[in-house]
Amino acid sequence: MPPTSRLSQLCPVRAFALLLIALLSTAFAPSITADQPPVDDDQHFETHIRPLLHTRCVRCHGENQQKGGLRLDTREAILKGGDSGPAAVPGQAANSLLMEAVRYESWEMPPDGQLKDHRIEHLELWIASGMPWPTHNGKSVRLSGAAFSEEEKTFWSLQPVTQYTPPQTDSDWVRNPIDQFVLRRLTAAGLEPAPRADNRVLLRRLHFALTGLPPAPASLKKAEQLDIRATVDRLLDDPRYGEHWARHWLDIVRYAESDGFRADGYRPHAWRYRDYVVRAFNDDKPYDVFVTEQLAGDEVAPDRRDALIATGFLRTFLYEYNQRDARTQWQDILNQVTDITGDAFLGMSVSCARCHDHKFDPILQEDYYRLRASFGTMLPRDDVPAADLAERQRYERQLQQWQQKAGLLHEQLEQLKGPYLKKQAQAAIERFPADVQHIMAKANGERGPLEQQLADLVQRQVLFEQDRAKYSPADKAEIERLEREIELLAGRPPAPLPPALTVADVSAQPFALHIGQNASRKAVTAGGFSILQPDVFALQPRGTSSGQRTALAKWITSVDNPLTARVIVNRVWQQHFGTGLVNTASDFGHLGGRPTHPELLDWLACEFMAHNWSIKWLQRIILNSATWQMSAFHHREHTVEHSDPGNALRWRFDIRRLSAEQIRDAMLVCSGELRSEIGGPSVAHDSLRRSLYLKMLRNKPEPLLSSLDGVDGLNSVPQRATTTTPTQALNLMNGAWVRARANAMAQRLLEETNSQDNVILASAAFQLALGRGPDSDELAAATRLMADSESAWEKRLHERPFAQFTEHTGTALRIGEHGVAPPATEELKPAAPFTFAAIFQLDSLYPSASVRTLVSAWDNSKSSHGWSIGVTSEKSAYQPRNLILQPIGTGGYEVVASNLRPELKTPWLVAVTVDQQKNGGQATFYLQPLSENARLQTAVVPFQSAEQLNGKLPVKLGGRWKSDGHNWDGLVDQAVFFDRCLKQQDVERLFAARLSADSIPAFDPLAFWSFDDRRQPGRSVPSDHPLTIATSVGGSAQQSGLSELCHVLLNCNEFVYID
Amino acid sequence: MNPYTSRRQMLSAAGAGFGALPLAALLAGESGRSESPTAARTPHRRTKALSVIFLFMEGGPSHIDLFDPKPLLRKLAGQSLPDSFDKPVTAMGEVNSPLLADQRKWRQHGESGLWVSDWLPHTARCMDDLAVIRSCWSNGINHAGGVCSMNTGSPIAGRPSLGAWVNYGLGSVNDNLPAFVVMQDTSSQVVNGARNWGTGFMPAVYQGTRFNTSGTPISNLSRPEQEDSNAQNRKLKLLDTLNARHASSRQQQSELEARIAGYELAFRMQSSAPEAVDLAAETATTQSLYGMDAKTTRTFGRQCLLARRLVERGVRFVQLYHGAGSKWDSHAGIEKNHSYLCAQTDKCVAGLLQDLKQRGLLDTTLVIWGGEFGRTPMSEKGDGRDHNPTGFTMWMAGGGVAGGRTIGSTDELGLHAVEDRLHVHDLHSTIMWLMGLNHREVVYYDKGRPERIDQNEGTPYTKIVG
Repeated sequence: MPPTSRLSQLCPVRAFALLLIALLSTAFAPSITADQPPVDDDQHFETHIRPLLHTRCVRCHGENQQKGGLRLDTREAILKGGDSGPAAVPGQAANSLLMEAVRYESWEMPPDGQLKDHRIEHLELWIASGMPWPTHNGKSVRLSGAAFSEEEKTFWSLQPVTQYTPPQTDSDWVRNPIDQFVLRRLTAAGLEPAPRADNRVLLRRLHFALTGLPPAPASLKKAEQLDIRATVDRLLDDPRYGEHWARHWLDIVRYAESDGFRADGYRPHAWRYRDYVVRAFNDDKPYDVFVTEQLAGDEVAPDRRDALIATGFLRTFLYEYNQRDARTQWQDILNQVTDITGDAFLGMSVSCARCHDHKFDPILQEDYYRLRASFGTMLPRDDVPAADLAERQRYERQLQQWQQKAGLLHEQLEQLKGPYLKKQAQAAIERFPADVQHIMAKANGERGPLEQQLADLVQRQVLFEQDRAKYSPADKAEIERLEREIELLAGRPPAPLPPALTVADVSAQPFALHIGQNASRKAVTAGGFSILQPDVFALQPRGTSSGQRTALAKWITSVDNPLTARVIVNRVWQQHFGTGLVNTASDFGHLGGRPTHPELLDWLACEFMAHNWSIKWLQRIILNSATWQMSAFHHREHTVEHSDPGNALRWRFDIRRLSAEQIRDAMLVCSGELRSEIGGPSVAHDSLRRSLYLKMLRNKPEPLLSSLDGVDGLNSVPQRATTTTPTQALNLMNGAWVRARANAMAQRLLEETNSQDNVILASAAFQLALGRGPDSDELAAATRLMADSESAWEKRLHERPFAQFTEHTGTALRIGEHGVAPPATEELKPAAPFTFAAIFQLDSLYPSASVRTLVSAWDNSKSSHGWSIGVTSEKSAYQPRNLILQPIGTGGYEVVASNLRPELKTPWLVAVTVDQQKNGGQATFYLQPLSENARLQTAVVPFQSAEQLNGKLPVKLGGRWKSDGHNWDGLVDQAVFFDRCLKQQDVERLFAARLSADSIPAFDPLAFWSFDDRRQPGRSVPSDHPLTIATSVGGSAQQSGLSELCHVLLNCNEFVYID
Repeated sequence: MNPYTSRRQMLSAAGAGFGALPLAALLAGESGRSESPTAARTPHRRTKALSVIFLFMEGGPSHIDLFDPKPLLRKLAGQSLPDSFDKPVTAMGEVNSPLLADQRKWRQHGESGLWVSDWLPHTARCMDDLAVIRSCWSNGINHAGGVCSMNTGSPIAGRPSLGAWVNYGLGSVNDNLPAFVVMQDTSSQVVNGARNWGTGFMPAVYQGTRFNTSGTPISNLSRPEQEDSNAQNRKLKLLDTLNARHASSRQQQSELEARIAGYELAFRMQSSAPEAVDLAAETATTQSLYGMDAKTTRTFGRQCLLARRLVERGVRFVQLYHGAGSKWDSHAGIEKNHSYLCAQTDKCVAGLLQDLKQRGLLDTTLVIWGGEFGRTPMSEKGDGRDHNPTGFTMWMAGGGVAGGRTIGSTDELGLHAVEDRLHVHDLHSTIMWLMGLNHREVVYYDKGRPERIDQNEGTPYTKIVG
């Protein structure tokens, strides 16, 4: 312990005052504030002393040289001193040689220029104060150098993996060696393991553990005959095993499918790496091969498709498509690749050593650059097909043949495009700094390795600009003509093979990298951690590849590397138990946890390697152990919790929340909607596929997964967090996606049980969601909810927005502000000729020019085909309250005004026929008040084009698609479509019958809706085109009650936690 | 102050034991916080500031046209950057383009005589409350890197945002509202999207919540239309019954209780959040102070007023994005662009400052104004300016900041910060410090790395309090 202060000798009054202020301010004395930030020893050391020693002293007095026998890189070394004795005496600056030297009083150090005064003062203050050297958990932090202490050399995770013999025991609890190790520690602590969990719990646990999905209800029924060994084997063979376990690996490598900067450009081919990982788990690819392929697939197996795709690991870095600081961007990329390699394979956070030797772990800054040098010749490639060599060669041949056939024409095309492309390239290159432009001016062969890498980054921006080249109309026409001619002559070019996101080396020469990218520091070549392997890698260049990454992979996957096997074994253990034997899965350093069962960890690591690095072997041994099969409940829970609250000794199984993906996927299993396809391009967020396949956009994570602690693809995540946020609860309770699953689950239960008995339905819902039936209390509560929901449904049914026309019996549908949102059909898309007829009442106009739309099949865009019938509003150019047709066919958008003006708040009979004729279209409008003996008004209006009026969208009543600004406000009833233009006498007959349900069928309607049956208000006759009435209470009372119950079950803790 | 005696050493030496002090240990995360992760915590230092309102002018407002006049720029207009200036890497490669003079009228304002251009006449009236920091610098030369740096300290995604760090350090004093709220003026996506208020490697509890400024403030907050008014209560009641039964036999897992509480909080928000954004109780005078009575200023004025209401209710960190989607980015036609955007914001910002002040809230609310970078003295496309991260202006007011002062300076053309240079790390450290946090002691352990907001590189500019 250094003496606390010598400052009082220097300036006693001020020191005392400051001390007082500091004391009082921390006590929050009201009238005094401390405006200085609290400064402490560590901070002073970090801010002033470490940089000073590091930059000005240790080059000559450190690891590489010890001039005068002196080292200045540890406190001990300074105390010990060199040939002239101790360099400093703690507390006695005046008597310290170091001070003499820096004051140029004896030696003149540093020799290349005296330190600035304030630096000398800091050094003096430091020695005077006893030379405090920061510690962490009692250990001095490292300053620098490879002079590893004994303690560092014997640090547990850096020791060779040792083959231990499982302790002997005669307990019949033991099922395999894991249990022997666990039992020994339990016994020593006077504890006993929890009993085996019951079969139902185990079955559920097993399924989630291996496939990430809940077991089917049918298998739960047979839970009592559970054969764990056989079930484990069966689930390991299930392709969904790989899908579940791939997710964990993707978390670790922070896989994502977008660039992660402003444009967050989508990476449409990234998914192939995801599928590679799924296959690797399903095929039980030996872990050493798995590691090697990801680091150096292009070197070790350039002919194999999978090995190329595997290097997608090196392509998860963030990338900015318009970054002109190419040098910094390239350094960032290499840093990212280096960091993730340390995190993922070695479980060591190497990034600390990027700027200085690791403060707590024996990882030198040099080691960081050795690791980084392994990637020094790497070049990201997007142009290598994801295909085996033979297929690539076949394609090359086809392409050559095609190019030969296209011959001269192809050349002409290139010549024509040439100047444009050159101009675009120039514009792109000019945005880079001068030195980078200089590189681009060089010919390909003249560029050094780094220059090639920088040029490649520039070239990506060149291609981006070239894709946006704007050709003159004449040249554009010529290009199109040439392309047509080429196609006539040579056919289409062969379809390109899908690309892999991979890498290649730019040079077979190994790359030497200056530590800290500082030219005055030592240049290092590829190598591992010095403490494990002092020598740099011996390289075997392969063709144009340096072999550096292969050498790195070889070092990582060597059976002598103490980290690799331990790290992966621990990761798998963690996934099964919630915490690893080392509770910091990606940190096996000083700040990380220590193994709770070091011998077990080593035994697993050894056996894992001996079993050909088989992950499935590891899964089997863990899942078949009595340790994993323990119950979450222990009969002496309260006592034992006192002695081992964290369950480090594994005396019970820990209750755990499922991951975001498990929860979302389980909902889909319950609703019966989970799609079974495996692999392929990623899908939209509302998809019903497994969560693994949802697009992973770094700037737009899927909200539900996100609220359940899903990953963002920005950071390597060795272990998922479990948080509870309001966003999570709101999303699960009110989010449309989850509610839709609850509805689908209810629908499924109704169909499967074929029952209307709430007791049966509720029991089935529990069974499906929780894998168990409800007890009597739960059943009572559940059926009470269902009953309450049903009566609320009935009540709403009668409150629903239905109204009566005074002149007409039966109910009409109210659409608009006081009624339902415009209902729609799914497929009905009438094209001319057609007729629409209805009874309507319009209650208001828009104050603007918006149209009160009676019916449409249009998205409100003048560039989309479709049509709309409605009434104009206050500011219309066609006068307000004008019945109009808006057809948008091949001839474009038109307004066809009838000049028939229906009064507001009065019921009308309306019919509009839309005809297509030789030279255009013709609309006939019929309008008649619903009151008795009213006069029929008609208008016939020709228009330009009625061709292809049916666009992509189906019929919507009272509104338009993609617009909420053109809605109906009022009543609609007896709406009917005919697939022909009715003649006037037919319209008159129908109007005379008030469009009654009895009169319509005789005219063979396409679809007819009346709204008299409140339980099925959207039903159509014929039944092909029901209207979906969005805001009405859907389905039936029973379905509503059951949906609510399902929704609760999908939210409850028992659903998202496993015992 | 003697750097060799940490406060803790001093205190233990003096025999003074304080409950409030071992915050660093608590924050270190290792020693199993038993309290809720967002529970309010005592700061390291007694400060006035309780809340932050960060007015983020997204896209990069031009410091040399607003707060940092450069007479030399007018003299050298049309010429290239003199060789005596270091040439930075610029986003659009405009480093050799001719210098562009500003077209502003500059005046000194207030008792302090701080310079502001005629683009900000309302802000000009508040200059005595502002500490104008002219020497800011950052690393991101593009919007993505710049906005990411200003929010997280790094141009590369993946670190927690400033609001998340403050939230982590101080916790929340209002259980019914999120501690960190984000609003934006347009529906365009803020560059980089939600990760600007994300938590990087920290758990999601500290993240910002996006508030819609009209209608339902938070996504999924209100009951779905399809449900009857009692459906939610019915469901929550059954959920509670099932969860209580489940938890009672599983007391070893405290998360189960936390999750039950999470649902309760969510549904308390259903009433508290709409109340917080309901401006009906605000007088016409107040609304007009913020410019809500004029079309140009209505949107941002509303948000500034909402920000005040939120800090009044104990929200710790409010971030308002103006010009969401890089609208301040003026590579061409800066006159038109900045005239319009200044007109949209100036009155609202000044109104916010005045309103906070008259309600006595300015002392407890730190208001920060700025973008991800400034703009170059070199022109782009004739009448615009490129991105300038090497020197730009931000200002702070309230929360203990001594107003009416200029801090630091840029070179004679406003290209590089030269005097009292404050990197984004320093700005973050300063903001943490103003909030009473020693940023070095707010540590989160991630994969073996003791992480701090400033990646161990920042120093708080403590002179900001005068």
